[in-house]
Amino acid sequence: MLGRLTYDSLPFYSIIAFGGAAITVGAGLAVIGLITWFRLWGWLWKNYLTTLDHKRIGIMYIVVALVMLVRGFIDALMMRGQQMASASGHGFLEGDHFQQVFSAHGTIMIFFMATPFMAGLVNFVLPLQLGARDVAFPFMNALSFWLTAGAAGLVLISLVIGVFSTAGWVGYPPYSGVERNPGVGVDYWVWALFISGFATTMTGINFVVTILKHRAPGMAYMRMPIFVWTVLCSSLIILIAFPALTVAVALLGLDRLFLTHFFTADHGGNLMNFTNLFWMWGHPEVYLLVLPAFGVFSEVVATFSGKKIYGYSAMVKATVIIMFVSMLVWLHHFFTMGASATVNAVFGIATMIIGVPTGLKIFNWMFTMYRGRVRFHVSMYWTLGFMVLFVIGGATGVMHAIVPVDYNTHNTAFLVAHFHNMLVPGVLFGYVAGYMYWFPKAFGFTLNQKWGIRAFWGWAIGFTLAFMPLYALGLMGLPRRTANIYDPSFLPLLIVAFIGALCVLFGIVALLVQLYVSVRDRAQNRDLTGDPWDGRSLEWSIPSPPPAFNFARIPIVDQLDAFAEAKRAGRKLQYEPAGPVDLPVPTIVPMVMGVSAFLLGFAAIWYMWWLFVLSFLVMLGAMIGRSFVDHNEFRVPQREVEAGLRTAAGRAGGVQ
Amino acid sequence: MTGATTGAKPGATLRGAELRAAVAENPMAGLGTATSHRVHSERALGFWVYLMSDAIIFAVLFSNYGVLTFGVADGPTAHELFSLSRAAQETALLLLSSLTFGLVSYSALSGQKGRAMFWLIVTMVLGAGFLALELSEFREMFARGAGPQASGFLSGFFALVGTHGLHVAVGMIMMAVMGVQFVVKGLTEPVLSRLYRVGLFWHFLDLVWIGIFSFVYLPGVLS
Amino acid sequence: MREIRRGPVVGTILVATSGCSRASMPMLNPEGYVGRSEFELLVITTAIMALVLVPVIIGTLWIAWRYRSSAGRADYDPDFTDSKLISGVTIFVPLITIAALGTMTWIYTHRLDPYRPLGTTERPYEIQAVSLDYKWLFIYPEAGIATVNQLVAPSGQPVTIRLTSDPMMTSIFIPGLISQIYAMPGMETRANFLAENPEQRDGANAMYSGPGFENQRFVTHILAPEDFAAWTKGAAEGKSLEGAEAAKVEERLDMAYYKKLVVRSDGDPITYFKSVSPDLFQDIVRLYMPQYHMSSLPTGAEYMGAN
Repeated sequence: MLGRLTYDSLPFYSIIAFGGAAITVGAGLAVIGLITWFRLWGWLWKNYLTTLDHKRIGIMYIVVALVMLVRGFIDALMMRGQQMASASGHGFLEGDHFQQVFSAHGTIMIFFMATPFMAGLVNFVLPLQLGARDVAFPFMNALSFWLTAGAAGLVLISLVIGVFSTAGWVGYPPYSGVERNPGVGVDYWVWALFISGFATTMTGINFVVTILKHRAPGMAYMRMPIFVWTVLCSSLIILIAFPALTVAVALLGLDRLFLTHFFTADHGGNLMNFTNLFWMWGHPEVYLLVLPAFGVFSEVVATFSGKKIYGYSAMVKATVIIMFVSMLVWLHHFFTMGASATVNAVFGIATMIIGVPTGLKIFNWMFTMYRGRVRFHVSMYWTLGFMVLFVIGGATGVMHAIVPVDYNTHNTAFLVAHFHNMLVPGVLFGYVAGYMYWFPKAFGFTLNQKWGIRAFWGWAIGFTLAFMPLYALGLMGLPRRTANIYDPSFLPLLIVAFIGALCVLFGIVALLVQLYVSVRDRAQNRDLTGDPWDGRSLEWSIPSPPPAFNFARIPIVDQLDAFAEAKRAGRKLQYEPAGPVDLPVPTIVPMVMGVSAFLLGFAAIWYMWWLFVLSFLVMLGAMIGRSFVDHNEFRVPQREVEAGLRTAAGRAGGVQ
Repeated sequence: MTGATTGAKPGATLRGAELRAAVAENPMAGLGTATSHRVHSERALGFWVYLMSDAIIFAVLFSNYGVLTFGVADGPTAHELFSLSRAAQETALLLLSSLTFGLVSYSALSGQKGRAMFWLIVTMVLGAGFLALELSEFREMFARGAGPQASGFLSGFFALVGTHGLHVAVGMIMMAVMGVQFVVKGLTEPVLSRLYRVGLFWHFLDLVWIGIFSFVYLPGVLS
Repeated sequence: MREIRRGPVVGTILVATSGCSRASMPMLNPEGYVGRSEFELLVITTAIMALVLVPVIIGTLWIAWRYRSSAGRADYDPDFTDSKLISGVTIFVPLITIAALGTMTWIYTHRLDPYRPLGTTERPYEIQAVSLDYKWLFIYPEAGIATVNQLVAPSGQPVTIRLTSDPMMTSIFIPGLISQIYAMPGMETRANFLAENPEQRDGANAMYSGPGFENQRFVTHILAPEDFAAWTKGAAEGKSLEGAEAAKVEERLDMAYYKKLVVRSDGDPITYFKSVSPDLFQDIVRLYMPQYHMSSLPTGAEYMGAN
């Protein structure tokens, strides 16, 4: 009945494991308790659990991302703590706990923090910037979200029931194979990735079709905001790269479950093939995360400089070039695997070539500020911090691309410092900048600037202190993932790194305080104009928060930044005549499927085959049932649409 | 490009010359509204995009098989296992089913429900025949100890051919659902729209099978 | 943000080297041709990049400050989105930098190819290394001896290491002497080095292969040629290196003993084998690749001809 799930799978064997489980369960119960206490279930059901509205789905994605950010960061703090403590001989993590922690940290931060954060921002912003009423496939959009949430649930539950993988976030065989790793840990990893991979692929399809088909009339490709361009490229990367991950983890799962020989060392398996497939996805993955962040920076810089983006068409071309080249460089993750010098050199040079369009982008952001009027909104802090720190990461990236240098820095702390240098300032700073930039659009009030700036300094200083020492430690030959530091001379730098982690902790706390303070003072910070930053793209032409249908009338676009240009010329945007508005009917089916996917994965991990079949049948039934639904839209009452028109018309500046 | 579609009055039914012109371009034009056409074209595009992604899954599985063909280890070789005549029969069934699916689409679009139903059932029978042949092949291989556990080569083979077979099975479920919808809903525009996408899927599987026949079975037998 | 404005890696190197001994910064104190070339490359490329990066970082902050809205500058121009001069510079600066670095990458990648023997015509001294869970086995086929967790090699002579693994994917790493290359089951990879002077260096498996991987470490002893010859002779009689004595001396390493050795263990003591069955390395590779056959080692001249 319970497969291989026994009493021993519960975390009563170690204090730290039990503590983690208790915090997870406690937090979950606390959330449920609070919702019940404030009688929010009905509100939650109506507005979020059953919603197909892209804005609400986007918000839910970001909530998941922030929760997972906290979880992943606790892991990071434990790692820094353990390495520091062990250098002085007092490590506190026992058994394979450290290995679980770094595996969970990487998996969570990439798949369940960065990816949902990206999907959330895009979900919220993309239709608004396009002048659309929703994404192309609202049902599939909700389904993507709930599958992602289900997969994130698998990672969280691994803390309570069983263990997580110890094979790192990349899960290289043969160590991740069933012979060396027979427990449930790697299975948790496999199923979480498999399910979230499906979800992300569907998200990619949705964004591509939305951009191709839902642009406002007149919005030619070269009139789309840069953010939309980056999303388009990033979605295409998803569609091309994710199949490789899906296949890699599926085959690894088969190796583990049915003892096949895809990636085994013996019986004709090929373990190098996993490395290949994983990085065929893994490298483009970094770019699909960072491109939308570049998009955010472009929006932020242009808005707060009061200028059009410098070199728009060059920016677009750079984005497209990055998209293509990002798929041709994956081999640089394993220069040391023994390919010929020519192959290595070609991939190394291809990697460096990405530096050209990226460098161009940095210059273009610089010259967007040039002769502008730069306002130091907190999003600008994140952007400038990104530009300063990211180029350092770019430089160390180029160093890794120089094959003989990589031979020395590969697998060391230097590498860890490098990719955090890309992902923290590059990706996370971008998403946080976007979060602070678009928050008033989502909720109708601005975020507290003071705490935002404090959060920024916490992150920027913390990042610098935490990772610059790791560069040095890498050059001193410290292999990554070392649980017990063997050389006491590493201690001073590890202490600095730990202090850096504490600064980041302050940054995260400041983010939460900012949210709390802003909600508390929302009455003072109300944004009544819908356009608090003097924005440039269409999302700022509608009220904050936008009505369910976004645009009462669809705007007509005649140039890049049509809204800003209309404001500058003192005229109004052109609109299509008002007509009836149809919106998708809310449904619980996506959530049911997400829960079923969670149960399906859980059942497969613990060999509860009856539950596996049951949840599979539920999902299949839901799909078939859904295929019988012809009219899944309701017509918004004319009264409401007109009210939307009226409130917009009465707005200062005559926006609509 | 979206201006044309969103510019048309949503919900308005086409008439007269406009209708005739539209029907010439898209046989479903007479059935729905401008809005529903937009929805149909979006879903079609979305499905194409999905198929591209699925094609990459198969591309990865093909290359995976290509790498693993050298991993015969102690297991049997392709030459000992593959039968060209059975593969040819499978090919014939699947290609024929693609033709009959074309007839389903044709009949459905011209409003002949009975005929569409007939060809749909023929297609499903052909698909079932393909699956039966494939399963019998798998069973024989298992019986000879040549299951996916035998060697890397066979793992790669079962992953590629099995994934295709799984897709065919999913296609069969889709067709069964379409059959039920023919009866329950009739040949309405949403049903025809779905039929269009099932058709894309089915023809796509044909294409993949041709790849399997030419890169797995033929070289395997000739090796 | 002051600490960030410094040149990126130069800064960290400065921070790190201040007060650090030679032993704690092995990569910055390289030995031998390979180590030195790689260090040289590291320094040159860092310098080239710093040349571009420092102005970019300063420029970014300077422009943001100079054009702050509170300064109320009169040259505000919201239509300034294109300038041939600026666009030319912004495309050519990265392009030229990358072209320079790319050229260096091409040259050095071939020059420092781990498969390429060092020295020209001399056949390199061969050592076979097998990565086990979690220990290193080194076989010296010429001398017919083997060691666990201790690598001894001659100076002044090119040395080639043939690598394989059983069963994990690992990465041999002797910072400053040889850079990383993977060891994989059923496969053979190579690493070459040429040490000029006798010395000691730490070696490790740099690639995570399970919780014990961090104990898969060893010390490399580079001996003068005559000392090395004496050591091999002595080891065949069970006499171990002075100052780094073997904890265990065994008679013979054959497949039967190997099966015992391969069992996962952690922090094994230094062990010597007075003799080794001749084709053991090939047999270990063949465990995973039944049809494997091994080519003989090329000399430098043969390698150059083959390429």
